[in-house]
Amino acid sequence: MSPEMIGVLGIVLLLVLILLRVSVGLSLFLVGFLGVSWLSDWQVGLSQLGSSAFGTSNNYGLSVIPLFILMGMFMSNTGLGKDLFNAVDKWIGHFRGGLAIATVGAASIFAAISGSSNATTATLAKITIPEMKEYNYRTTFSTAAVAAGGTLGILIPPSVILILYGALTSEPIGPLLIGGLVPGIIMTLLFMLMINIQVRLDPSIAPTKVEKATIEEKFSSLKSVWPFLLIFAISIGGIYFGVFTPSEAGGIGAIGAFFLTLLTKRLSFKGLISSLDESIRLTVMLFLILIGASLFGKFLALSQIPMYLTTTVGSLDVSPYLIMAMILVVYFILGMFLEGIAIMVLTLPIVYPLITQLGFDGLWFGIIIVMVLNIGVLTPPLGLSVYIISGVVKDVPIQQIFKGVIPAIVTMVAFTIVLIIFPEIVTYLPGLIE
Amino acid sequence: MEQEVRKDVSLRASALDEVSFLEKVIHPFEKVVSTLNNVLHKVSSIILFLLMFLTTADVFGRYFFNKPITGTYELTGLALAIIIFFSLGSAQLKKDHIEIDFLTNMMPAKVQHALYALTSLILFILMSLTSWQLFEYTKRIYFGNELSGDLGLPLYLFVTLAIVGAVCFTLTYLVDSLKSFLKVVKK
Amino acid sequence: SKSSGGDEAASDTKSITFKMGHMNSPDHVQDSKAMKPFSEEVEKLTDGRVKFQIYPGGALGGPKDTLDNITTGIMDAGWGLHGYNAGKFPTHSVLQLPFLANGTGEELSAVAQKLYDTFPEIQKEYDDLKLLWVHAADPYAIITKGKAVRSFEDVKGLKLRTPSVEAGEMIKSWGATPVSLPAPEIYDALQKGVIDGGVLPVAAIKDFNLTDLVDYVTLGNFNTSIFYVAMNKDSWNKISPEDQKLIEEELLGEPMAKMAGAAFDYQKGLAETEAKDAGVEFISLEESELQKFKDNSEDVKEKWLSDMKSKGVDGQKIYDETVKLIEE
Ligand code: NA
Ligand code: NA
Repeated sequence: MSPEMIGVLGIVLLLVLILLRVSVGLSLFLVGFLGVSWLSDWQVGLSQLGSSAFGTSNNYGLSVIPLFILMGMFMSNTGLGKDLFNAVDKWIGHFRGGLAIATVGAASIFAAISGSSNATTATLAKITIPEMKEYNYRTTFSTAAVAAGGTLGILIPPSVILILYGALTSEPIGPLLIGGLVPGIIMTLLFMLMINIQVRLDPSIAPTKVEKATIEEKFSSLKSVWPFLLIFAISIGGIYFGVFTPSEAGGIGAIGAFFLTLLTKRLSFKGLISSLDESIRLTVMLFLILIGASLFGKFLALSQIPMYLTTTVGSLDVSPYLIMAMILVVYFILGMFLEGIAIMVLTLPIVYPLITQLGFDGLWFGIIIVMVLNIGVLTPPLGLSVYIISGVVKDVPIQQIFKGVIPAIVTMVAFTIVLIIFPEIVTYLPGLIE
Repeated sequence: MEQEVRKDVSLRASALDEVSFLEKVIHPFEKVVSTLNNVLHKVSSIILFLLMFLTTADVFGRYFFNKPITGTYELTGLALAIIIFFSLGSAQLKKDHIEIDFLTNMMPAKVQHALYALTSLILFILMSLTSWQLFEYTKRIYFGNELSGDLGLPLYLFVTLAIVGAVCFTLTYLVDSLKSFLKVVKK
Repeated sequence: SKSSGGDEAASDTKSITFKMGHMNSPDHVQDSKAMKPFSEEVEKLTDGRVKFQIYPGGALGGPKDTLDNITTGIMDAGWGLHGYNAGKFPTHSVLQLPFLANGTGEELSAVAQKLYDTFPEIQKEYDDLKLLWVHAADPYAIITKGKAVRSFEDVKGLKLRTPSVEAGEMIKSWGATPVSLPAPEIYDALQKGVIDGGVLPVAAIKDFNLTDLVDYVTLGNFNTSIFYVAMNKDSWNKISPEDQKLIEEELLGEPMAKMAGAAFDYQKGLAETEAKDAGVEFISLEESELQKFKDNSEDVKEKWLSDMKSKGVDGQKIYDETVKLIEE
């Protein structure tokens, strides 16, 4: 059997294992082990089990992951998320659909210190959905605002997904993180615009809030916003201005958040323990996948599939944009059924060499991947964000929530197309670093 | 529940006897495994907490005293490796590792348990092999006298710690497999 | 080793393709000017019975894992730096000692290979591998961003990337701080001020795209680093004895070592021109200043000699032979 055929068999086996509920990381690890063994020798496969596992975890560059996650955990475990939402609400809550717009606004600020969409979505859902319910917002509408806002978590830096993308493709992590900033801000504004249009079309989904905050209330509410902006400015600003490496930015951001919450008497010992605990659990979850992906990547390299595909596609006489469109359609379909990190580790070893060979920018593609994965968390049957939200609002059938997020999906697809036409939206800011 | 099983024993075949015996063995075993993993996880938490200070102290030392902390780079990588290996098991106990279950959820409960017993057993074998191979890897770098670049720390010590974590992680799959198996055979 | 016996007859007619991995980009000089010519020559010599396919970019494993990956066989062969496996090659590291770098990359590579060929103590350090060739880089310079090193005083307090333990001790002996980073991290670290520079070969400026970051290059033949291209023993034994002999006689050892060293010399030429065009200043130290560097590094050699003594190796003999080979 040709190595390429063995590679294809491996990919099929991998999908079967994943769909049979075997952990994604260990599915990759198992198939990588079997594949490497088949293509070289059992001894070789076996010894890779030990060395890949340790080699992947002993990595200075990836220490950025637990540190950035820890930074976000300190801030969200101390109730700052609720204060943040209330502050944003004081400023824009009285507009039509204001609570939903405030949800998106708070999401984007929360995203600036949180690296994960799930954490952003879960935090917001618990705070904002009950509030919107109190003002008789239609649940399909309020849940959609949270789902949309939550996706900003991995677009606006820091972003675990972009760090993983960097780890899997060797794109430098600093510029990748900075690359998400402008698209993240535009996406925030587009979501707000979307909500505004929805409310204009059907005012009954969001009754206007009567009370309006006074100027004093508005300004005093800002007290809870500045810690977020300060931590963001120091850590992400530090990367942008070349003061620290991303890992150092993570460390400084985490310790900043630690002292800030400690000095403002928000951080209890219990909060400290659970912040560390949750950060590590999330980190370990990601690393099991990275460990599996490293061995699976070696198997794919041995199978020569990536090489075969890049040479074949490179010799095709079609527009690179057509191929890009096809790739994105495949991602959209994968996004319906698979979890985002799984999609990245499965596809990037093959797709990344392909798109760079076609002349697309590797950093830009990282942001495109984030857009596509964000659409995936909103689409059935596996839509992680919708699942998280439906865990908070028990009284609404999940299909209703899925229906509610359709406008958000349309907005995201449209913006993805804009990013393909104007890649400078992504690449301009990272290009200015140093 | 347990009593029901007891009653059945006297009336019915010895198969159930084995079930209750299995239960008696699995429960304490599960307790030991989770205690081990929880202890390791606590150690991870401490390491992460210290890592945060190490990174910051290094940056401060560099900018304000032109004196970075020697070895920060390699210590950070090694600390990360220990955190990962020490907490793999506790993440598995809390079912943090990404699994995709929308397909298996459509199957009957018994089939799901049987399948989970089988796949957990396979992962138990995979992780047993990995623990063994980490040991082989330790031997290779021990006999190769490999040291870390800046501080000259013997690397085999760190891989040995990783083995401890890997073994505890491995055991969680044995527990999972046995528990699911029990659910299959139990009425 | 899994398929012995029956394959012996087959190996006469069938061709074997070996996987040769390295951590650099596909356009690195060691790929285009040493490993690729090697694989073409081998194919020609053996009428296509033996081939080497190159896997660049760490596709089969990163810098720190390369040696283990060869020993255990996911790479049949591979290129790597001794410096990534501190402690593994203490004796051969003699060539990494301070101020044993008077010569071109090609000349120093020949010395590295001859040391291996001469001393059983050095050969023993590779006994789990089939060494194909060992080579050195063009002499290392102090390459910095922002801070020029014009005198011995200037180097004090600088944070310098070190390629090996020996170079690290040398940097320490000057009153500077050594930082050991994998080569791909140099760019980021230099940009962020994690390091002020490094003790690096001039060729590295081009290899790691440092031209825009670097401001000064202080020349001084401070030291060099050694690199191996090694093969898994079982893989090597899959080649028929006749073909082994052909490859051994025509290519392995000195011919390939020199070619690899010359590749770095070629890259050095390009890097130097490019850097000068970009306004990088090349500084030559005055003899009296250089002497201060030498005097301070004397301890590193002494430490190496005493390490060798404790291992029961006649370090002085090896050191003297190294000096002699370099002077030749
Ligand atoms: Na974020
Ligand atoms: Na989906």
